[in-house]
Amino acid sequence: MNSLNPNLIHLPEPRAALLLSKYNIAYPAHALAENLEGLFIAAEKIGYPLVLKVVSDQVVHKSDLGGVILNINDDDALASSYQILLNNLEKHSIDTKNIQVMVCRQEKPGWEFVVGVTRDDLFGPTLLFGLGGIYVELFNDFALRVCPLNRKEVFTMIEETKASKILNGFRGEPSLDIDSIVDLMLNLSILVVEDSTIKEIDLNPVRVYRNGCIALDARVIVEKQV
Amino acid sequence: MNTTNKTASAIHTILNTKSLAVVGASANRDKWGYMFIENIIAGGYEGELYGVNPREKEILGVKIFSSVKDLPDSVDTLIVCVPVNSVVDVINQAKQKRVKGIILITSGYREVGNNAMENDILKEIKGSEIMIVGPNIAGLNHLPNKFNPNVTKVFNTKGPMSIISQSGSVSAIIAEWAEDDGVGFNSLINLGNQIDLCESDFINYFSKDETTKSILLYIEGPKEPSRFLETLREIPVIKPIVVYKPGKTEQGFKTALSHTASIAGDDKIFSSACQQFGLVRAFDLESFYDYGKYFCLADIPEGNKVMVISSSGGLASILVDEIIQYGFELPQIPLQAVQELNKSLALPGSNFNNNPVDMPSFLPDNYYNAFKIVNKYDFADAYVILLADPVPGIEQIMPKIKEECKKPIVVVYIGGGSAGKLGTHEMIKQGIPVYPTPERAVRSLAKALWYSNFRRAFSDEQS
Repeated sequence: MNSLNPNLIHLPEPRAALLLSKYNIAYPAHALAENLEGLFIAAEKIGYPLVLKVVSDQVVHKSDLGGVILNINDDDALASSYQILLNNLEKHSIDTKNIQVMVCRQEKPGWEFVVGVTRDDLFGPTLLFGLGGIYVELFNDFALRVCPLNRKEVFTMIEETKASKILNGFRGEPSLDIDSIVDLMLNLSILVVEDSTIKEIDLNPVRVYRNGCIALDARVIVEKQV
Repeated sequence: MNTTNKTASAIHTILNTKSLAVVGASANRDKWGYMFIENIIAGGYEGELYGVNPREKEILGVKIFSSVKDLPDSVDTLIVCVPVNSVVDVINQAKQKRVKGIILITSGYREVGNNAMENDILKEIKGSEIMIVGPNIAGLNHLPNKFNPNVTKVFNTKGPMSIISQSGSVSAIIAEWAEDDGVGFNSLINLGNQIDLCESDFINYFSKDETTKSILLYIEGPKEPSRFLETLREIPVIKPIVVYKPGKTEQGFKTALSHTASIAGDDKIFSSACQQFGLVRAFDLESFYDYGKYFCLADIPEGNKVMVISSSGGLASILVDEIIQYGFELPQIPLQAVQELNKSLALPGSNFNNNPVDMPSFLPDNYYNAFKIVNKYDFADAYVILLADPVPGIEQIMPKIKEECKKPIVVVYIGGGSAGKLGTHEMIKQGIPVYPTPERAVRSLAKALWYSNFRRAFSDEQS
């Protein structure tokens, strides 16, 4: 999957979510399904609104291929969305036989940030915080710190970014739950220090509310031990 | 003895050896085995010196033995420059002689893909007392011992900086500037492939060495990142480490699969880590040296207020631009001090109303008197004395200024002709950082302020 380094593996999203849950990082309720029947069972368990995401090692950039469908509000929409998703993938010549999809609860809207880690050759695991989505690159607004970190260091790291103004309540908006994102960052920092196989992690976005925060997507790259 | 003590004691033995042998000594002037002996002698090394070569009896008056086994028992350090295939045998004999340290010059290892032979060496020294610097190095220098086993050059000027480098050329350039400037240096360590002793060992060693006031580290990649990180969490706050690492342009391929890794490039991580740990980062060779020079000579400022005494209005304007650009302030001179300056100096054409004090004078005493008055009112965190003309004899009053001043002083000496060269050299020897341009002086002072702020934030965090 990566021509440059065949030892790097992209963890399937359900496994990434499981790893995060072990470190108390919240992830939307989800279930896996391989057919429409499975989808309905999952939907019943989780409750609408839902998001569908393809889970396949043939698909890394799932949104680019139409492998993510949002705002699914009932059984009919679920059935038609599933069909659309399969069609999208087939258009990109992806074999959809036995393909798995992840049914996730769609979380409330909110401000989005990115939290990530990368393992630097010189300093080891390094934590990143910035504004979510594509904005981190556009505004070059992010902070980095070498792990492990304490609470105070994580706070000052967040304060270094312009994005922190949003957390503190920008232009009369209510302030968001900074403590919860600090906890998430501390937990992620512990995760990468403990698990030396982790090469890179993107939690993008992490949605932060007035109470709590949640990672909505996780890309976890592990290095296969050879 | 724990590992740290064992390492420190081995480094101490190697640098301060009183009984040394060059293994691979040569009578051929073009061979490194000759140059080492030549440079060690030329540097004035006062300990016992021997050589090993089965075909020679004496080189440059140095007694040559046919094997390591035959060397006197007093020998505790070897400089080894034999061919790569003979190294393990030399180490084996050294082990039997109870040698403590080996400066391994020989190349042909990891740098050419020959990792296996490095492992052979490690196997050979396992369980022994021997510790190794190198291999694949041009040598090292330790001037308190007048010890110059370095093929690049002999150095004589002892000073308060120590240089640790992964490049023999970079360390030699810095050492040469330090010598030419009169700053001098304490030790120069070339790390080479670091099969045994590594950057963290030397950083720790020099952090405890009282003759070393600043450490200059040229690094491409540490041997053991986790130990390097431990070292960085402890040392920079105790003793300034100026670091220069190539790679700011980030050429070379990356295997970033994630968003995080692609935006957090190596250089951005390095920059952040310098901020986090208080490493003084230099972006070019010149500032690498300039910062090292500042930290080994001057104290760090406790605030950003700079008082300037200048011999030239024009140069003072250039200096002021730099001062403001780097976030310093120029405090107002108290009215009483202005009156005193006017009265006691009575120099036509001078302006004592503002900071910088503009004082077109070639007489050292005027600088001393001006300094004395402003110093009395104590309203600045640092002083910059800007000499843009020859001020012959300034070096004679500078010790008095330094003695009376409780704040860091930086001198810019530019356009001083031969008086400038002499004055610069002498003032540096007195422990004043003198720079040839306003830019270099202010940039260095700014780094010192940054470091000072880091230290304060660090101690606040601890309390």
